[in-house]
Amino acid sequence: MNNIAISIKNLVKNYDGTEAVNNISFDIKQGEFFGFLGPNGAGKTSTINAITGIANFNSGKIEVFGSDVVKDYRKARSYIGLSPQEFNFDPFLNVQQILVYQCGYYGIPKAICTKRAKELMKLFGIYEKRNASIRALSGGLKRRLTIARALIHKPKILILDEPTAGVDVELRHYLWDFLKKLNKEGTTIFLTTHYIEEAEKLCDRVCILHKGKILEIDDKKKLMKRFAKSQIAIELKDKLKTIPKNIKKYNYKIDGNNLIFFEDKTKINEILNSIKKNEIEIVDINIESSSLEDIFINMVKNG
Amino acid sequence: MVNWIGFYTLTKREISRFLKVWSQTILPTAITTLLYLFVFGFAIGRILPDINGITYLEFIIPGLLMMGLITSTYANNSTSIFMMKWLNFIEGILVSPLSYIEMVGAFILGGIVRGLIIGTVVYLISLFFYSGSIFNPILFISLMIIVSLIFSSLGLITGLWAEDWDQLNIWSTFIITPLVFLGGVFHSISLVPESLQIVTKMNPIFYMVDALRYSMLGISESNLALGLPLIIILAVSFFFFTVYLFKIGYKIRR
Repeated sequence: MNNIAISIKNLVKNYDGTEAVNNISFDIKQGEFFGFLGPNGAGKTSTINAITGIANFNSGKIEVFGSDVVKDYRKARSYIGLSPQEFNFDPFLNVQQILVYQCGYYGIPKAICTKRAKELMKLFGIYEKRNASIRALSGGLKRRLTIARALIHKPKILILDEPTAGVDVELRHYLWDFLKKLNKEGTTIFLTTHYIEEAEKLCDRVCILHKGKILEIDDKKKLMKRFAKSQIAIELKDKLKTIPKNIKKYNYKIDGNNLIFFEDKTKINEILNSIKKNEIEIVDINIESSSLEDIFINMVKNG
Repeated sequence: MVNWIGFYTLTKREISRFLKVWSQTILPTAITTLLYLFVFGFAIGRILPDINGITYLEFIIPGLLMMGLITSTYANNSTSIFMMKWLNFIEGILVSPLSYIEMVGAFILGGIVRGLIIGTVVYLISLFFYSGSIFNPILFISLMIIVSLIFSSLGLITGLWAEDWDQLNIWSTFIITPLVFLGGVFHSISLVPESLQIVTKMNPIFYMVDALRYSMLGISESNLALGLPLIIILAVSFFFFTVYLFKIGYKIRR
């Protein structure tokens, strides 16, 4: 089997003349935890919909483990489990039926589906609600059910569209741990999220999408290294009257008793030595590195 | 390879949906049929002359069966697919590995089962009013299945097309119901002026009602050699057109 889980080439998706996805191309490797980040309207859900068969697309090619999502749609769809952003449950079914029916659509016998449904309901803490209708579930329980439904046919690829939107902190952390474990066990995960912290914690590689175009796509660590900016804040005993010459060469600003350097944190020794040479007394040192969120915000602002 | 389990699951979902709300999907047709038979057949029918040697009450029984079957199979599938679209849970089916022909086949089989249940209910009710003999049982059952297929498909087509509840009702109010009433359910074609007879002969439902009347009572007012192929052609065309609409994702894939 192809070790590229999802391959997207020159994907274009228009809605009423507006380009939601503008000629994007990328591959997701098997076993990868891939983050798809972007502000609202960036084209994330449109891309997911094109991959999963919920939306048609104008041009381009999408393959899932080598199967074309248009020509060989049945095979391509069998590999994917989708947890959509919006809840879309069948109101005629109860919790257990939702899982068992969805499993059946994948051609899996009922006995196996029922067993898996029970396991997943227990895993996600919704077993007690198995006979309840959807209306009786809270937002958090619905989110658990959405993810359980996406996993019912044991997909090789799990696509999660904003899985932690509107869930409490406890469930969010539970889901993070669960997804990490699932990924370690071999499931390829494609995650879109507004919580950049989530992507920073979970993803191997991230793609930043803005206005339907890819701004950056790289290994998360490399991306952070490439774009991260450090801020070294040094609190001085006394406010500086004049700036020493050997400090002027740095990118800095003065904020009261603080001397703030916008330099890479590897330069900290050099900066401290420069200060010491001028016999300036230091009270405190604080180093802050920019997070993926800072990088994301900067990119989107400039993109 | 056919995804039989997937096909069976979706068919089961469709059947359990209308059975769950049987008081809205089965009972109204039974009550309406009973009322029609009592008022038109039993009360008014007694003073009307026989048509082609059979009583008026017997004459309207096949028509009422066909009317119940057409309206309920059409309503079944148009409502089912429209709700799936409206509440977005059609996505659960779209992302699955069911083929488009399996999807459409399952929806239509669900409609056919409802049609057969309605047909059986109407037939059982009619036993209070006539002997219950069926002239050609094979043709009788085949017609119920084929006509259910036609209107299940048409229900899917209009359910896909409609963007709100008003649009969904347009077809049933302005097209299906008039065609059913003008299709010879309550009257013999010989009783209407010649100009209206020509119009009636252009109404495909007339051939369906008449063929069913032939299968039950052995009398016919139309040319069955024309009517039966027409019914089969309509069934095949509607079925494949519906599959085509699913394939292109007409109003279901964004």
